[in-house]
Amino acid sequence: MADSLHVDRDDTELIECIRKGEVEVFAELVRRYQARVFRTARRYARREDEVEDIVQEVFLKVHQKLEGFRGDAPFEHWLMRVAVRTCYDFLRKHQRSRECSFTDLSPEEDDWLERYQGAPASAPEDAAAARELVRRVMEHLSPAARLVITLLEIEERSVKEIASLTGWSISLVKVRAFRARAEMRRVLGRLARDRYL
Amino acid sequence: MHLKLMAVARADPVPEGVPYAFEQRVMARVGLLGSVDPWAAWGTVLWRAVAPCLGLAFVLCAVTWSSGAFGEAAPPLDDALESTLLAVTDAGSEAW
Repeated sequence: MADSLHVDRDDTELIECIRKGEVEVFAELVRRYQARVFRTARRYARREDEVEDIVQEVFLKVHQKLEGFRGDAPFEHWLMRVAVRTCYDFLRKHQRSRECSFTDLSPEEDDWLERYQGAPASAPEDAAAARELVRRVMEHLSPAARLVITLLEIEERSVKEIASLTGWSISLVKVRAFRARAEMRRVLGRLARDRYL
Repeated sequence: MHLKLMAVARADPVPEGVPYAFEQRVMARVGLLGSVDPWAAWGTVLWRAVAPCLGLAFVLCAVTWSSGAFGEAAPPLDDALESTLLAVTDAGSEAW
């Protein structure tokens, strides 16, 4: 099978082949990195069809911009940069009204919050209700805040890495991180208020 | 609460599952787009047009120079403007 010929080649060789016109070699690059890109996209989109659209768009952009890839950094870093920026564009395009209230929490989510307020340490971190609560809170953040919080606090990347991934300056990342945390505090405050209305 | 929720998010494993034959779907779209970046193609066409345009400009300059047009002194601008305006009024008076 022709596909197996490319498995042992490194990324640089594959990119050279693609630049020479061997378009089918691009499929090997997709196979190598699609899992990683799917994992990234799933942090920002909830529906699987949206996730697939994001990942497809990432690879289409990569294919179109491959001529401009200079090889200063590993291909994987460049690919992840395209992925993060595509996810950010997705967040901006799909901004919902962030003024929605938290009055429609499920009983499980309510229970988890009760447990947390009674004894924070006793509220389990692997509870499905807790994960759902995190998702709700993140969806109430602005796109920039959500991106920074996800990269900085959930994926635990450094400010320098975030600047590289997003194309923002280091000082802009710091400013956005500060504002994102303030926004998160406001959203959590609204969550607390809405529960007791 | 912020720290607790972030700990929850970090503990939540994000699946890496890929739909079956996803790369074929991507390659089908790549095939539709073609391997040529449209802006790069446009840039290539413009660059290719530079040489013929320069050649044409050179030929036109040579023809104009050989016809002696550059040797003649152009009339002063104020005389040319005056004669243009007078021509218009003369034409108008003839019409009436």
